[in-house]
Amino acid sequence: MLTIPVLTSEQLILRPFETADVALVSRYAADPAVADRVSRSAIEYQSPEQWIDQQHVNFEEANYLTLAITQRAGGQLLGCITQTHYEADEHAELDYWIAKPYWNRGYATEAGRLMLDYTFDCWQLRRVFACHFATNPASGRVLEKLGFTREGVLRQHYCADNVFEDLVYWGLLRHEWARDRVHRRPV
Amino acid sequence: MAADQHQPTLTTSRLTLRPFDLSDAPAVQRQAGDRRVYQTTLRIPHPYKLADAESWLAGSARRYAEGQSIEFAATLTATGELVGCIGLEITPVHRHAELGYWIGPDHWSCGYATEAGRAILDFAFNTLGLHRVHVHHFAENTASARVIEKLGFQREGLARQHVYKDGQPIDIVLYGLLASQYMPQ
Repeated sequence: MLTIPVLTSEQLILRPFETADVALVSRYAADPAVADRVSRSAIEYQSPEQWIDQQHVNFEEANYLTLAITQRAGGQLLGCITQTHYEADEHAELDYWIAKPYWNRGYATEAGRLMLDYTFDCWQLRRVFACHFATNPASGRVLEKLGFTREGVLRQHYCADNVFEDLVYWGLLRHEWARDRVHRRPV
Repeated sequence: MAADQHQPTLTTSRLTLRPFDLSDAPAVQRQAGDRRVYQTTLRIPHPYKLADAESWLAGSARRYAEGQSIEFAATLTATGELVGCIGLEITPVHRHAELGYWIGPDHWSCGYATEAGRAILDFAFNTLGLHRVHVHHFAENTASARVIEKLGFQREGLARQHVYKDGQPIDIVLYGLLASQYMPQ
């Protein structure tokens, strides 16, 4: 049986979600500050318990990896990060959200680095891509810091509550990640 | 699309775009089985067996009834000969669709993809009421780029090495067309 990994950096521990996280996940995900900035599939589920169970199934069967972003000191739950692996094309899609009280502290970037390092090391990946709503430029800054290149804008591609959002599309190739990793300060 | 509605037939000056029929299987296999079609598309297997064509055709009416996609056989009105396939993969919640097509290599460079594409866009925006249609091509496929540009699409990006085919990473060029900017030609 495959076990969802735990990834650790200076400030963060990324770990599998647990039942005890459910109440907080529901509250965070219901906050418009998060809900209006992510795709519905990232936060909509029949029940949070099912959502957590599904993460284990997804990891075993399809190499989706969803992790809780938590503070290393104190264990506070901060958000969620997912890497979805499309094996046939050897690429993956990165998604993340951080609860509003913890914005602007670099947590998404730090969590993104952990996820990219793990998945480029452990999965057969040539590329990772990510999208965000054009109305959410903070997400683009995270991707830029992670070394992604802005590859395009899909105009009015996503409809939420009758509002059509532009999707900004980013990509990171394996050699770009490897080059950036070499220049990173060791943690 | 309601299940009780029959897929319409569209006509252009030279083409009749009609629902597929199981009897199209040998023609689909012969044309889509050509390696040149395989090289410019993502989901067509190679070699393409008659059974592959049959199972794909058998699902076409269901995919239409379920509102997932609409696929048309592009045929010459004069002779009834199949020249290719054109269709839309629809995402109702976002009111958008992806345009896809292939033309049998015997019929390349006759302008059929552009002619069929115009009819499909008219159908997408004026009949289905979609908000956006998007399309992509492999970066090396300049013939497809010309078709897409003639149809009025705007280039929106380049997804580098986004797909993997026969051991090679392939860049994908992304295009979109909004209903508000669609101008029938």
